[in-house]
Amino acid sequence: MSGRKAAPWLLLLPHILLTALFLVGLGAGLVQSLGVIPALGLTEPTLDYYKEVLTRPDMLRSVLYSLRIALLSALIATGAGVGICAVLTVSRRAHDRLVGLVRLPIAVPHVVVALLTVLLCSQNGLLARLACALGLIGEQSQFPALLYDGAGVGVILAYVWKETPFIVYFVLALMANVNENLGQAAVNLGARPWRAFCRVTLPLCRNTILSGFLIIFVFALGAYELPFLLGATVPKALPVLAYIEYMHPDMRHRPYAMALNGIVILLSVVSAMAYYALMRRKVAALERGGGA
Amino acid sequence: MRRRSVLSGALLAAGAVVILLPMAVMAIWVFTERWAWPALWPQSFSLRAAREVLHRSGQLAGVLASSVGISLAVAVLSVIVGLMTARAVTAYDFPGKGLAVFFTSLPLMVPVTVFAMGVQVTFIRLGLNNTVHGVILAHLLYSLPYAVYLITDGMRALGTALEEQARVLGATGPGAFRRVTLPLLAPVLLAAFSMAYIVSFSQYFLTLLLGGGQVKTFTMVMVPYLQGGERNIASVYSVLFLAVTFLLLTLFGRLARRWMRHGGGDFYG
Amino acid sequence: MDLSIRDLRVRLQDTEILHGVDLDIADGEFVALLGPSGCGKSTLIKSVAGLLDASGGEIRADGQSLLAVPPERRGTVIVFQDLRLFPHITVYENIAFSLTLKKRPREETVRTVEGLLEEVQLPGYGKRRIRELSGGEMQRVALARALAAEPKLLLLDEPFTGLNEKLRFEMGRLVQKLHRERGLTTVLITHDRQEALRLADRVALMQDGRILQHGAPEDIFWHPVSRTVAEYFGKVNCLPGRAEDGRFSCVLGDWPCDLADGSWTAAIRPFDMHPVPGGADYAVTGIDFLGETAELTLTGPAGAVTCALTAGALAELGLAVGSRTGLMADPGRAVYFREEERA
Repeated sequence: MSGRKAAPWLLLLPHILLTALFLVGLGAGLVQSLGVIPALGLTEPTLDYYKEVLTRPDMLRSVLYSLRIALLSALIATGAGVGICAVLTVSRRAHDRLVGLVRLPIAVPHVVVALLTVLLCSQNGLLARLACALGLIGEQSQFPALLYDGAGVGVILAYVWKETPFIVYFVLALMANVNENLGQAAVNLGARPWRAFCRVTLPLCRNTILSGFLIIFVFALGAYELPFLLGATVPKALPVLAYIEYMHPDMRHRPYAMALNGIVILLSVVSAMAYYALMRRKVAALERGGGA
Repeated sequence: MRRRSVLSGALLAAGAVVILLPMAVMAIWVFTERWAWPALWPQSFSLRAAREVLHRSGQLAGVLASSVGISLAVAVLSVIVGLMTARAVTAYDFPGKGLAVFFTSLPLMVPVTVFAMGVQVTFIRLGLNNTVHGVILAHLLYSLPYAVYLITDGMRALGTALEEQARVLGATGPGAFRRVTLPLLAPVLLAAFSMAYIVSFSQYFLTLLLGGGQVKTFTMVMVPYLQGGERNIASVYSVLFLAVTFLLLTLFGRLARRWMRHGGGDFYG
Repeated sequence: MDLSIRDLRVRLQDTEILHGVDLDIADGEFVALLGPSGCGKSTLIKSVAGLLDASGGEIRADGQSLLAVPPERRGTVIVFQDLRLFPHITVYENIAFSLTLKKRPREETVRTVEGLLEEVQLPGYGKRRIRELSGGEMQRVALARALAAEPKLLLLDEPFTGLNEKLRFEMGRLVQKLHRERGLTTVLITHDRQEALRLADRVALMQDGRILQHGAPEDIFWHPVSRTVAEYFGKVNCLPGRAEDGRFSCVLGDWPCDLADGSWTAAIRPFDMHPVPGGADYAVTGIDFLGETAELTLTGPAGAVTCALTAGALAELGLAVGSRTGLMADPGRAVYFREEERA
């Protein structure tokens, strides 16, 4: 069969071009974060902007605030999502209805999730009204300030509502499949269903679960909408602060934005490397399966 | 056995409440005129918010068209590029394949804010900044990983056996792909299409920065109302656009099912 | 199609699977390709059909090289072991697949498909879906679909595996009948030697990526070129001995032969070994009762020897495990190998 050598490259061409564009964007951001913006006469690379970002108290607080939101929301969403998958898998229930239900939040944009959170969790939202109706509180102000607060509870809740279904979607098919084949074999050999699940199915799904965790962690770390719409004025989330610096009329503020982004990139790179390590097995499977 | 089914039944019920209650509240807000503290139900309903949105129907139609248009374009491109990429990594061996597979999911590991602020200079240079094309391209980068992931998995499950059979029965390479693999991949392509559409439809920051206010999508119009505390108008927009998404995706589901006729569900049962 | 394969070499992922295969198949012939699993049978027919690239050698059809011809233009159709029916279309559309590709007129296609369904004894099955079919029905549909492609060479890759014995036998007969009626050059891959001997005009025995022997069933059975080939078609008793002046002598006696002087091994089939009443050199150490026939293991001066006899003869001899008997070889159909071939 002629052209077998060239065929994969031709097929990959659009993807290679897109990746190149992506890497150019990433590279440009990194270069600017080192203070190199030739248009402004800044040509000497320096780590000063990083130093400043990490030593200025307001900026450091932003870094920690974002990390906290991303980590907590990703942990809770992953835990809840895996828990739901586990119950469904072990009870071997027909998941059609729940899978349909779970797809719903995936299709809801983050800005709409922000609206939903406001309608439910603000101090005059439905939850506050329910608390009042139950006699738990009397005044709006007695309801805990979940939104626009320094702890980021509202943002975390919104992410959990949106990302738990993503984890279910990402993990459920594989988990059900693994459990059907191997978990059942373990049950057959005398293990109790939950024990078989924990000893066989869960470890085999570990890489996929971790990949899902990393995806939503990195997303929450760098997403703009929810902290912008639901987060506190101080501290601001990393992406919000970066955008403010980026849009500052004085272009010399731009390296600060990029240094803030650089910190996100650094955390992302660590995540990406972990993700790559997790994917190696999948790549190996592809290599075995391909080229027949 | 019984206890377990009670557990999963309770889970289903809890899930339904957590997922559907906020949506229901939003639906109520569409028609709410006055809903003062601490009532659990609005005091008065009206169609004012809906009318207000429809009144500016010119603007609404424009936003709808650009929003849906951009997302459809992104979804179609994602499926096409996704198919090509997935085909390359499932059917061939070549040096650097591991890296290529890694790059397909790289955008999942780099937040949109970082990418958008970094790439804007390049976009300006390429004349893509503040254009619909530029926004589509940027959305594509973030929709593609999901499409590639889903299609690669589907192709791997399908394998090459049926295509080989088609070849020896007289089909050319592209013919075998079109007549056998493609229809059997229909459910996967639909999933990839839907996911890419949703990812694009949900984008806010990429459109904000690279569209520069020139490209008005649903999230662009919706956010000012949300910031202004106009809950009912924000709800009208949200419900309207979610309904359009739902209808479109259902329609495409129907088309895909008709296209592959009786399922091919054997592979994905 | 007249097929000629010369020194064919095929590599899969850096491992050579076929190490120089030579095989000639005459037009209209029915050849059984026999061999243990993993010997390269499937690789061979996939290469012939163009699904795998050759790394060396030549494949010619009617004198023309096939190597540069893409699979769809070779006229070689495979019925795979896993059948590979297209699950998204009906039985009718499966069979009509190649006709649609050739853009045949609709009425002609309908007529052809209905005729083929008739031939494989599935009339009226056209509208069914693949998942509604039983295993045997799927095999017939796969066969009909292959025939619809008007193959010049039909390659059957163990398509009857997984059927019960009766269905398997019926399918074999059906293939044989279709082959005879259509004069279609056919290659059947199988690891069932009886199936191979029963159905084929000629049998090719493969092992470890090579063809060991290729010939008519009786020829390959009676005149195996090596002990490996002899053993593949059933048990043989191997008796080391010497040939001298036109006589072969071994522990069971001596008899005339036309061998060069030297060490030889005589291979004698179990039914040419007879227990004889009166003698007591051999002890019966095992009896496998198979119904119509029985196999006796006799242990004595020649080591452990297998004899086959009819159940009736066994009853007449009145032998049981532990009884003693004499042993006589009927050397008329013995085959001789050089000693070193034992390796």
